[in-house]
Amino acid sequence: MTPYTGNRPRGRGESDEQLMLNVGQGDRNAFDELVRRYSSRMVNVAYQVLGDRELAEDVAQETFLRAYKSAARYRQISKFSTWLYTIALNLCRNELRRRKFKTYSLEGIAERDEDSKIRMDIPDEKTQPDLEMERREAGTLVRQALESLPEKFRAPLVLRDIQELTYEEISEILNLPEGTVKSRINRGRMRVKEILRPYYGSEDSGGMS
Amino acid sequence: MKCSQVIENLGSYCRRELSDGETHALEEHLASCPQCKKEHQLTARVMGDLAGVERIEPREDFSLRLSEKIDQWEARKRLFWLGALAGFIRSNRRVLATAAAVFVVSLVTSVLVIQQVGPGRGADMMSESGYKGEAVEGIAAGDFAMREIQQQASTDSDSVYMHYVTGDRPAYPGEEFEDYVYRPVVRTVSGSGQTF
Repeated sequence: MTPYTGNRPRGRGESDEQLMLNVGQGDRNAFDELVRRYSSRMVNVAYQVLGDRELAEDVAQETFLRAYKSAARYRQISKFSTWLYTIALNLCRNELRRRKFKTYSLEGIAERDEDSKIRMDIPDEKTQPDLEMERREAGTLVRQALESLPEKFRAPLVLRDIQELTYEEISEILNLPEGTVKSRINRGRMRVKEILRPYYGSEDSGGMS
Repeated sequence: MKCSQVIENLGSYCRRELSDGETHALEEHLASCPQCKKEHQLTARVMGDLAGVERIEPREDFSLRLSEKIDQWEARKRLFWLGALAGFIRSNRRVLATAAAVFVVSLVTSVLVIQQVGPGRGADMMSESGYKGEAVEGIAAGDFAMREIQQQASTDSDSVYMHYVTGDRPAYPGEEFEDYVYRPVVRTVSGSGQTF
């Protein structure tokens, strides 16, 4: 049993894996440190995949809870972060299936709309919004574009282009060959671009040869 | 590099994921193709917005709520084991009662026997009856020594005999035999007369 360390702050040099091994021996302070290190990342990855803030909090909590419950059986086979992301992504997947997550496709709406225009809170061309508002609205557009992606493209894209993980890590988390991961990320990027093309001004849009 | 290849690789180019050779070929194409250059501008903007997509912070009570959930789980786990133990006892109470009764009877019997015979008496009795077995030094140490002799006797060969040499030893407290003697043991190999 690891000796009780009181409220002593954990050293920065202690690796995630070592901390997790300590958690397995009953060290709650080590677990608190891991939560401090990863809570933001877990909440965000869930938020970017699910698109719901409350749900993202719940998934992140459940991720840590499951990690804690499995701590005694934890073996240092892979990086702790990869392992934690795997739990979070599995929970996201379950959540999407369980709730039959209501994603609305921008493309789908566009197809149905008589004017082939998406009715969203996008800047009115007559009133030029300030830069901050434009940035915020662009962020909203991107998030909605992400939500409209099929799950098989969304998760790898979020992990690579938002969470900044390596292809190797994503491959391990999603249990997919690296080639498949690369292909899905590339296709996901192109889909997002096609969804956003109409909103990013005529100067950016161009035909392909 | 063809336009289609360039378009396909623009995302990777913006993320600097291409090799030097691919990057060079793509940049050469961009310099000479206005349409692909426009596409590159759009891709770069999308990639930039994607990287800067809205981030949220965990709620302030995130750790606290998590800690409470863990505490609840720990409590449930303890209750589970207690419940499992209670269930096991309930479902096997007859067997457990019988085992407990046998244990108590055995314990009481052992205590009574020890009181009757006394510690070390077993070794004396064995030496008096010419017990044959492997030698053990410091044999007059009570029941434990007697048990050792019994265990060794079962695996002993006929060629080893025990001889006892008497010596003085203070009586155990409360021991009945005041003239009890300490009996260190030497052993000889049969036939050779060798003592060791």
